[in-house]
Amino acid sequence: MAESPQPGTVNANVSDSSASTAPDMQYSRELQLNMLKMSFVANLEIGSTVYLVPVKWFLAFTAWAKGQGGEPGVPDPASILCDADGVIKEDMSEGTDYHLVDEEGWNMIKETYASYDC
Amino acid sequence: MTEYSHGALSEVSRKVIPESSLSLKPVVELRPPIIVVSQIVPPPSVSVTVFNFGGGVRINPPARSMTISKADTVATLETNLRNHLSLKATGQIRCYKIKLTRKDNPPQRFKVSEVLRFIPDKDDQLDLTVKTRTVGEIGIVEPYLGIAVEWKEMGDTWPMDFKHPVIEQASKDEGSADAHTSEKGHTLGASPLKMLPFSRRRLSDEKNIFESDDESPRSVTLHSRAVLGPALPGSYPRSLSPIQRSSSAERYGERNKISFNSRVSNVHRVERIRGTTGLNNLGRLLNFQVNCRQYLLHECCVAMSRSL
Repeated sequence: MAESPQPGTVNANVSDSSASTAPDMQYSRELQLNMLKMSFVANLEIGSTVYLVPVKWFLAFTAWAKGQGGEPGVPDPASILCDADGVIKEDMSEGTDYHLVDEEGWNMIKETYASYDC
Repeated sequence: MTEYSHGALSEVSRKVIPESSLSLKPVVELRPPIIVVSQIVPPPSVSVTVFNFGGGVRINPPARSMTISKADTVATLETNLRNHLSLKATGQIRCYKIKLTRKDNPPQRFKVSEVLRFIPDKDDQLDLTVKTRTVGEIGIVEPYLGIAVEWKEMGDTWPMDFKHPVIEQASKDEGSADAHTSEKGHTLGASPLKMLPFSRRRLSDEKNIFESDDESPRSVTLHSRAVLGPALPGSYPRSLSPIQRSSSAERYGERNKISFNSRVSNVHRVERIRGTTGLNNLGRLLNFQVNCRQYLLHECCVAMSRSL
């Protein structure tokens, strides 16, 4: 049974499939984690758009990037943070329930999973 | 892994807006207003009401919602409302705020008599004159609300200001408490005195407050009698029978006095077969040339038969 590719292994696979080793994969994952952390919005700018990423998913991603957990799964922030009408639940707060990332960070998250389309 | 084709199952994005018009402190607008948009339509004209023989059911779907930022300008709001309701940019719009809960399900089109039940003050319109003001500044700050929009062409009358005989009759009816009972219903254009909240579940025999009077497939009730076809205030059913078979019955019982054939001449008989007499020939000229020819032919036949 062929092993399904894991998030974060794209670069390793592209460089050389036979030579891809565990340290390379680990490096790639940690690199992605650092990039994601850098995309956290520190200073808000009026007129910009921010994206909400559930803390629960980010913790799973962090554990996976450090080699301490399984795949974090596809992010689904609306199901965690919003009610049926798409409104953010009253008891949600930044840092506890969600992180704010900029557009670049959100695109990176999407691209990570979009890479496994084919 | 095709299940990851979109990269994420959902997306929650929010705009960063100034805290208020006086403060430029940036804040994330976590709960931008969701506006349920309905359109106020003018009452149908008398001619439309009278000559509506279709009897079909016109469906009034529930209103759709749109999201807008409190920091967006009035110009953006107006453009979005026009696009949402497919209103022409040449006309003018006026907007009224309606308080809604999430359980409410207002219709896409409101009649004037219906929307007045939900607008506390008819003159309290949203101020759309200064286009550079923000949505928050004109009072749209609730996370969930309704807006009723009325539109008119330049020079026309606003639907809310429209004076119509049917509506005048309706307003008179609204003033009389005995005009509305659960059995009689209410006259055309009139609205019940009692107003039900959006969220209250109505009884099976109770009339839906969103149900339009003249769009109902049921027959019109006038003086507690069912009348098929349109009825105007002040009119009476043409016979005691609840069902009208034809509008040509002059008096009750007259129809049965003589036979149909003896009452109708041959010419009319021919025309009746062709469907050009009676009510069917409204607005249509008879073909007199053909009629005369047939009449003469008929007379010749009669004369020949007599001579034989």
